[in-house]
Amino acid sequence: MTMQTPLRRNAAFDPDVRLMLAFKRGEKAAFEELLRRHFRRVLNFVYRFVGRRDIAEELTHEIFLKVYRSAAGYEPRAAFRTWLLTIAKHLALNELRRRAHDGSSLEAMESTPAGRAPAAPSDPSPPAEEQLIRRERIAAVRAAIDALPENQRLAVILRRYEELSYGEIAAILGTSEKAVKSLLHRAKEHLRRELTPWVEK
Amino acid sequence: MKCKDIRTLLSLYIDDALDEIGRERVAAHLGDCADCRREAEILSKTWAMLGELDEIEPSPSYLSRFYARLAERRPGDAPWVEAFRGFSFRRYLLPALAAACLVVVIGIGVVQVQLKIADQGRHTAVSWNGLDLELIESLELAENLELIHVLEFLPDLEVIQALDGMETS
Repeated sequence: MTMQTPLRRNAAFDPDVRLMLAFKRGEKAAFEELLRRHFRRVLNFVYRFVGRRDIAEELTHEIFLKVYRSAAGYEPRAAFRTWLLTIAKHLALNELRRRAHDGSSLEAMESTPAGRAPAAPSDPSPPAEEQLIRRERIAAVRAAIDALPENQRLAVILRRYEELSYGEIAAILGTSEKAVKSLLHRAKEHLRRELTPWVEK
Repeated sequence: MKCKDIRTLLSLYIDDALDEIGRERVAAHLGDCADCRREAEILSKTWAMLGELDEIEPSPSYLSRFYARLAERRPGDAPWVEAFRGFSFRRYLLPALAAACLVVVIGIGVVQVQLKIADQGRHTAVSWNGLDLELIESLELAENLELIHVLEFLPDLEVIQALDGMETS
């Protein structure tokens, strides 16, 4: 009898792992169910990381193509979500580095370029301008996140939006929980500096 | 604890990631220190502000687009690449490569032996050139002529025997 690690035992109870194993056995409907359950979430994870909708959509398709093609060799060593987001992180980082290498910019059609936060609001907004203020606040958040170093940005997204535990984040980033705490501490300090004008009014 | 120490713990405190002792110490300090309390409040608000970032929805055709992309060959793929992709390299390809190497080594050996034999043959032919060869050929020719003469003599014998019979009869 083979001994199973706690992680493997937990993975066996993960409904997504069961769907992936069903797909590995040839049940195509199981893969479609995984797509339906996770596409939106992965899309938003990538979107928050790269900051561009068109690139995020393209990459999310790539991520699920990778999942599809990995099925034959799939072994449930971790929760499906952790495995999926690890693939997503790899492909998103590759894309950012490829673009940096090629000199093709990620600067946004729809987001504010990193490092150039919009000016903080100067006076109370009349009701007609609420929408504009809201867009400016979103742009400020986007700029503050974009200005973070890659690992801090990933840690923030995984914690704030994916609501993962420190252990799960450590597994995805390939680091220790202690390192994740340190990344998040530095990231929060940066966000506090960038966003204080918006929360003080 | 000093304010400086507390500040390093605040990000974990607002994330509820401190152990019980740490949490109690920070909470006790915040009860007494207005500056640190304000700092904790700002940190908490900026972290909350991240929630204002919009979520996006997949395009309505995302499923069909996915399957369309799946059906596409990847750029640069030759038609055999897809078939080859599922091939287990360690299980099949390594033994196949080892067998191929063995065949090549044996093949080279066989060719070398054949070349050596052919080479020896050429040397033999060269040594037979000249008088020796002529001698052998002439001897063979002489033997053949003798045989021909014997064969040609047989009908003659029959004729003689027939003549003998006529005479005796």
